Amino acid sequence: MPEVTRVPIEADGPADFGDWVSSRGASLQRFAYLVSGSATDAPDLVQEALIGALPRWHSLAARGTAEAYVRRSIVNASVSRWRSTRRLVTMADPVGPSVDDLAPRVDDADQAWRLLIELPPNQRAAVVLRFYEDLSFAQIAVILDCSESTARSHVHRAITALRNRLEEEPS
Amino acid sequence: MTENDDRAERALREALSRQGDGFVPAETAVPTERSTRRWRSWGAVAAAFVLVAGTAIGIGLVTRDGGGLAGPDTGHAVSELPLPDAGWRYESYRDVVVQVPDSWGYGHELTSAWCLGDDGTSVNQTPFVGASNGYEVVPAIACGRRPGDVFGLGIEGPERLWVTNLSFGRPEDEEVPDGVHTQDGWTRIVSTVGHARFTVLTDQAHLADARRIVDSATVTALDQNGCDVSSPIQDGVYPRPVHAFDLSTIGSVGAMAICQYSPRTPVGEPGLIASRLLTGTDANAELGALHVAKIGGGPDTPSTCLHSEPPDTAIVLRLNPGAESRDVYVYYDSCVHNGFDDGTQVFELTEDDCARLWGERVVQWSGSSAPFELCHPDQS
Repeated sequence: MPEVTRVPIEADGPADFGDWVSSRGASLQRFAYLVSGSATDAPDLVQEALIGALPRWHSLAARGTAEAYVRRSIVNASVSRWRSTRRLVTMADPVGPSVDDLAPRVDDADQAWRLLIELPPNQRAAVVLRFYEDLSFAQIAVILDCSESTARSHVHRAITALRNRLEEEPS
Repeated sequence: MTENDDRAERALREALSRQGDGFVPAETAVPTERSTRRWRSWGAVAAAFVLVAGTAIGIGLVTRDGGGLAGPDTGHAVSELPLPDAGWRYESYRDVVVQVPDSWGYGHELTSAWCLGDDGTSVNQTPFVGASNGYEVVPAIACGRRPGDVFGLGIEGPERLWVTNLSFGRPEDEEVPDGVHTQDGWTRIVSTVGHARFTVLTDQAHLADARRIVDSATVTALDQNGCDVSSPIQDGVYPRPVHAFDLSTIGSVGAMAICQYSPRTPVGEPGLIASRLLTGTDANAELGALHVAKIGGGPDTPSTCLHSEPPDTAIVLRLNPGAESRDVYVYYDSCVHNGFDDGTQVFELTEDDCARLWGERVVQWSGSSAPFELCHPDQS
């Protein structure tokens, strides 16, 4: 088996924590939103991750792994929240015509977003990192703290699930 | 990839682009040390509550005539660190604490002299936290690594003796860069945080724990047992306690922190290398042993060493950590100045007052033979 060495996501960047947060804050919140699917939770997820990063900032900055660390913290926190809330009982839809019957026909992207918010956060994060951030699978593996093959599997399963849904509708 | 896979990928990209670009981020506040402390303080509140409501570490000094130096035994958290996760505990080294599973014991990492007098039966069988703390006397013999060290992991000894473990070291002493290396089912993670370097060697079964250990590293000024990460005991050659008091007037204690330092680390830099906490009966048994120890210190054998050299390690015995504490300095590994010093008098080392100091990662790895035999009667 070949030696596996972690790849820093971002070797460069501001060395000062405040400068780094200022430059990366919006992007991190956007990432948190896409991973959690919640615009309300996104700022909190980022803030918690930054609080965790502050005590080890010098080490993270020196190694160029701050971005990966904070994103991983966001994903982990999102997973924790998802686990704690997924058992909540959802109310049944009111009887009557479905939204789909009344709304204009949804396009592929709408279907894709519906699928994404149903995925577990780790899998969703892999899709976000691949198709929104355009990261390689090696880079995704570093952030998600998993093997490259697992990162590939996350993305592949999402594509397969969406493909099956789309095949039920003409392109 | 099929045409429908392409369609799915395009749809995912479009969906994320719409949602991501349409999201309006709030202003991101820059956390400060103060906000981090405030966040941690809730953990301290929780810790204090548990201590009061549960099996309280009744921390409070009571004078021998019944008067209280620190008031009633109300219980205090010895540290402001948040409680460790369920089933985990803290370990400290220099200015950093990490969490490790409670199930991990203590042991010694394999050294280049792993083959000396060892048939393998005394080697740890289960995951452990290394107790060499970056300081260990290693016989000048190289027993060898796995032939050719083909793992490239830099771990001593044959693979059959490898056991998942966490070890501590000083970044300035290590040539191994931070990173993760995996081969043939073994992973070595090296991480530097603050003034500490952590190395976890792990098999696949404990990989998740290993990563959690490294990710838990937190810089602190006071460790989980109430030990300062830097102490005046690091100042020069055998300093006496800054705040002198009379140990003989202390009737009982709630706890004692045993804080071990490297006096060869300059004052102001984190010199804490290990700590442990004595509570309840154990703490008061130690206090009782000190009460009957002879005044004058020792045992010393002045003709057998240089007097100008600081000891390799020294202990601050912190009575009542986390509240109105008192510090006793303990010297035990040289030929002079041995004993317990409260700043007023020096009490001699005896088997009863010294042997209780050692355990977990607080170890003595060098020293003059007279005090060593008293402090380690089981090894003499």
